[in-house]
Amino acid sequence: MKHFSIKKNLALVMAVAIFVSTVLSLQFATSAETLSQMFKPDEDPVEFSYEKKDSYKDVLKQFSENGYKSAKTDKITIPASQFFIDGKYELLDEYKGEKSVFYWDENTENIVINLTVPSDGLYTFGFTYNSGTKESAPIVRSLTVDGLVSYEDCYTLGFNRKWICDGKVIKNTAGDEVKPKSEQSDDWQTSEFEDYTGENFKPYQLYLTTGNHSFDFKFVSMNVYISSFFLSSFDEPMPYKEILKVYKQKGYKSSNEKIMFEAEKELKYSSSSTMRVGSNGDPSCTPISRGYTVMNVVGSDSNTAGVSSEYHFTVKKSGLYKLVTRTLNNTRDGLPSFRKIEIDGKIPFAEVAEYKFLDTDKWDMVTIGESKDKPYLFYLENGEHTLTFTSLQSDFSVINDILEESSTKLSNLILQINMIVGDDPDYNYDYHLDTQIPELIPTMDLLIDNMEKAKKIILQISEKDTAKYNELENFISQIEKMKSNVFKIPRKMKDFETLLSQYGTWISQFALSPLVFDNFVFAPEKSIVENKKTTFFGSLYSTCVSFIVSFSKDYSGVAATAGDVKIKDTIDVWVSRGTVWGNMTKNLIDASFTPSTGIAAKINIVPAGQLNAGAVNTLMLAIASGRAPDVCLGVSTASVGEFAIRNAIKDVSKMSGYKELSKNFLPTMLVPNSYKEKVYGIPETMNFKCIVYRKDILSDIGASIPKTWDDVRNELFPILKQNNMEMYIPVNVGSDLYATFLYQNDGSFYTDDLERCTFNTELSYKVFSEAVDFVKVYSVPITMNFYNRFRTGDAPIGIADMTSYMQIMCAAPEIRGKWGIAPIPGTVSKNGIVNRSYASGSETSVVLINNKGKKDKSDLGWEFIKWWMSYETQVDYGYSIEAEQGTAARWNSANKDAFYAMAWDRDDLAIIKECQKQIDARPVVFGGYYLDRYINNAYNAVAISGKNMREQIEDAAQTIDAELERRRR
Amino acid sequence: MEKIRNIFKPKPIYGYHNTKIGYLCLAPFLILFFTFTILPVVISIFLSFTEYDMFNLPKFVGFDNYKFLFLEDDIFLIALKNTMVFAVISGPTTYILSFVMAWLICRFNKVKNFFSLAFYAPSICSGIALSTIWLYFFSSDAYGFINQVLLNIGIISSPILWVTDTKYIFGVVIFISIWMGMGTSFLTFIAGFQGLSEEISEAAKLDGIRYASQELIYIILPQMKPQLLFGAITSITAAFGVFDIAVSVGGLPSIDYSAHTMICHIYDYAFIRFEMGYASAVAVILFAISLSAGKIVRKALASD
Repeated sequence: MKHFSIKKNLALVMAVAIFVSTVLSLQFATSAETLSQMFKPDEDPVEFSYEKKDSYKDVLKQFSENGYKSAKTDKITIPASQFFIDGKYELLDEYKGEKSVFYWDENTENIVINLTVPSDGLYTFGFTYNSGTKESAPIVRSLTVDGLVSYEDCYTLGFNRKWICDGKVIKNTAGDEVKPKSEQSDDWQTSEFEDYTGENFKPYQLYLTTGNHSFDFKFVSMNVYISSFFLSSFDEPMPYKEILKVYKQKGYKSSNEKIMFEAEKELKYSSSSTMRVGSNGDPSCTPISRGYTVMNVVGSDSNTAGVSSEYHFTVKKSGLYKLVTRTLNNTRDGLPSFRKIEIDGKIPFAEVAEYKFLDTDKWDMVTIGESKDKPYLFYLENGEHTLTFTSLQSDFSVINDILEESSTKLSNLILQINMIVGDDPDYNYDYHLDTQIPELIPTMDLLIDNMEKAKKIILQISEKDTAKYNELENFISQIEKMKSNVFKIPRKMKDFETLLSQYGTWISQFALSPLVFDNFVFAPEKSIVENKKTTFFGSLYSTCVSFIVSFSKDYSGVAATAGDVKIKDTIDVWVSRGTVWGNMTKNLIDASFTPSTGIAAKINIVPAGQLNAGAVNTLMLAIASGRAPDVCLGVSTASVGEFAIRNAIKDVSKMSGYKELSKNFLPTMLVPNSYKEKVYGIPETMNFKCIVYRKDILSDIGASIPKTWDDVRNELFPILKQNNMEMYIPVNVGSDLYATFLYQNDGSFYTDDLERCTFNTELSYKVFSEAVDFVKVYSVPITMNFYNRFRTGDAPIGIADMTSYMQIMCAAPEIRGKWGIAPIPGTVSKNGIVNRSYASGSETSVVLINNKGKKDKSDLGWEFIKWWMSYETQVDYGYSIEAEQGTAARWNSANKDAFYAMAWDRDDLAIIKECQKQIDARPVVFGGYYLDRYINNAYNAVAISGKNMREQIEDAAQTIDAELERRRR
Repeated sequence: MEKIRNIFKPKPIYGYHNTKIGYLCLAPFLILFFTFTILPVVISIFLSFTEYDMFNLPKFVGFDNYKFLFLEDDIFLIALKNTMVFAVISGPTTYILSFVMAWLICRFNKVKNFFSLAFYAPSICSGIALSTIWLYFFSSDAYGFINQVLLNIGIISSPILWVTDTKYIFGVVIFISIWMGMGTSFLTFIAGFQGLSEEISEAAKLDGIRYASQELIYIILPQMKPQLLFGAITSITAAFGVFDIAVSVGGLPSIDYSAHTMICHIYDYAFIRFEMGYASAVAVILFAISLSAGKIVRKALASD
């Protein structure tokens, strides 16, 4: 009886809903145009500008064509007190020993420096600055001289940071040496601006005429302390022949002393936090590592160009020395690496300005010189000296220029071909591409020609047959084949795309400059420095020792590095992340949590992803067997509800200080962590979604950034289709797309009492068909490699989450500056406001375990959570991770202030903040996983298999409701 | 003399003394077998009568789980159907294919070892790793190997969504499983072929056998009964246990449950919904099915 009445009511409600919606839609249809004008959002459209400048290389060419020479002048210094500074600022009276210092943060837009140049010529320029010690992101400013941008690189002038490497290593309780935490020096530095990608050994130069000039610097990112600006000129180093003459004149004699030092002991400073001491398991390295990690080398296979490292050493006897160093360079299949060698901050002679270290199969003693028997001699006075190696691209930058040119040409060509053949070409139709695209054959010729050039350079510098050489040859023959059979090009588009992505790979590989140093020897000219060889038995012995040690060594636990702190109690903490992340957590605990609270924490690393819903959940098994930790980090938020419902984790909302802690998070972040007004997890990370778009391409085709989905459908799609381009919309996860439209229409997944789903209501039906139509009507591709196609430009706009954003940011160098982000499209609501809500991607939480088997330590665990999610800890952690793992590993803390404190692009951050406010979340309901499952099923059934929508929705809603009811029982 | 004679005197085979040592030698295996095979089966039979979420103690519910299983759970029927279809197609196919392959390859002595390795290698690799390789072939965009070939020849005009379209997912799973599953039976059969008695073959030839097929049916097959039985049992159990390939190809749960097998169903209830009791009930049914399938196969082969 009751059942019947519900059905009746439902039918009534539906009838009313259908009636209302029909009337409404009729109204909409009659005055669609006026309405869309009325509802046109009143915010400004997202604007973007894009302008290309000469590259520094071109400018250098012009310099040499015009015969410009380095200016003969003394250093001109302008103190900060004479800057013209725009906006609010303060001049500090004193900072770290310098008087009247200008602290330049984002509140100051730009500064102007006026100065008089004494003579025509080329000048170098820079600041005396202090980078501060906290942040690690690049400090960048842009420069216009007399209102003009001299070359492209002036947009991104970077201040180098100085990282301290004091040779101290810490041993943890497992017996392994641990890399010391990267710390920055707060010394004042005076250095010229130079290319941070290490293309060239010279700093940036500007051509200035005699007279007055004004330098206008603009803020781009990160704060810096500045005490003065200077103009100087670059002294070309003399050739070695001249230097030899000088030696003879002054009567320098070869020394008979041998100075030897270990690289890892004497490394003092480096310009990148990733250039650090490391460990090498080869038994010939000193000191030798036997089963335990020992810091015995400097550098790694992933060293990029443009990074310098400074070593300190002492000379007892003045005289001439040759330099011999034990190095390894075997990871790039025969390609050499280049280094600028400086002694006491100066390049001693031209030959070592870009010195080539050839590829070596094994650890090798390299004598710096023309050959092993003809070493270069360095004159060293007795006393302290510094030896600096700076990694350079050198000849590789020439190759990269060629490749970059090819890459741009090729991606244009691909675009053009795509415009003609579309993304679903008919292979049996002759498109006559060679006549349709006049540049087709010339471009292919150019590609071949460029690769031939690159091939030649590679052969010349590597002095042997290399893998890269052969790769290039393969691609040349492929392109040649395509050229000879133009008809087949449409079905060979994949080859073009492979080549394009290959260009990217090559460019990033050539920009690397791997070289590992074991030790350095300054020796008399005639002496012999022996290389310690790795013998077969030596390696065998070493491997055996490591193998035996592996039985007793605990690899999953993270050993402690803390000093003497009185420990009250110990808690168990699980970290579901990579080892580096776990180690970093442990370091922070030892450095700050344990000393301040007296609580020690034992860290265990659980493979990432193992605490996700759906995986065999280690945590669940541990709880069932009474061996669970007290706190667990990195638990997927989706499983928090599952644990909470089963009483496996603790409600933290009654814990002391919860109110203060919860203010750190966006309120929506807490929703999926709560169940029945209790809070079971503290959000740990957060995500966002936004639109990423190619400025260059959108302005080419005359498209603007859509604000609403109507804009997408009515304005963007037609333009894109005309140009055979796509927009990336993640249509493969139906429930996410559905959620977006549902939220934007103020809908929710459940009825207010959370007892039933709303999937079969009229609103759901409407938004579901809206989602399905992207596949059915607008044929948005279901699978797409967005990152690649964004780079090639044939998907110039798309919806990205944080991962894609960071990937494009860090791994698409060729489109740097050519793309931007915007909030995701919204739906215009009844009162004319654009609702841009969406469901966010996966996040993680921190939970306090309800451990029945063991002593209750939830108070201590809670202390830990409060400390862990505090602003200071999260910022510290974020910066350490980025310093260790690079920018791509940016920590997306759920603590919103900590999230904002990371080194975001300033303009992007404003948009990201806006995007994060739009995140909507759905409450935890027992049996909620069924919702996603069945919505996805219905979505796929309708969008892909073309089944009846109404039927699918009704079926799904019934099944979901049945499951929800079964769960409530 | 008496002593020496005693040493050479054969000892009684069924004596108490010897059984003790025999059991002692068997003990390591028996203990492991008991704790990791018998015990779990018993426990899961017990659990199948309870409601258990791993955090709280099991609660006895009688036959509720089985009632739900047989009367209400539609997805169980899908899983059962899928598993049966899978077993019927992939079990015999794997079995017959590997037998035919082994028979063919045995006739070419030189390449035998190479092919043995080639066939066996997939079955010692992890299913997930191999599915990843196959996913390149079955990739849903126009650049998946198979799509690319089909597009090039002109058989299809737009890429087939091999692992997204419910029509194809299960087929892909079966295909990969057959390819992977051939190894073990193949190796057994190769061994069987090598153990064939030359004399019987020669005698048969003298008696008038002419064709290879005659030799196969009348001479080889009867001699290879043990290998055939072993191959059949492994094929059948493997067919019932299909899981990781299904998951890595179709996902868990797969779209519209198109690649949902019994093990997927168990996993779904155990580790996504935390219903150990119900999962155990499904496991018990699966156990019963594969046990009886094994029995049937044994009967069928033994009755010859």
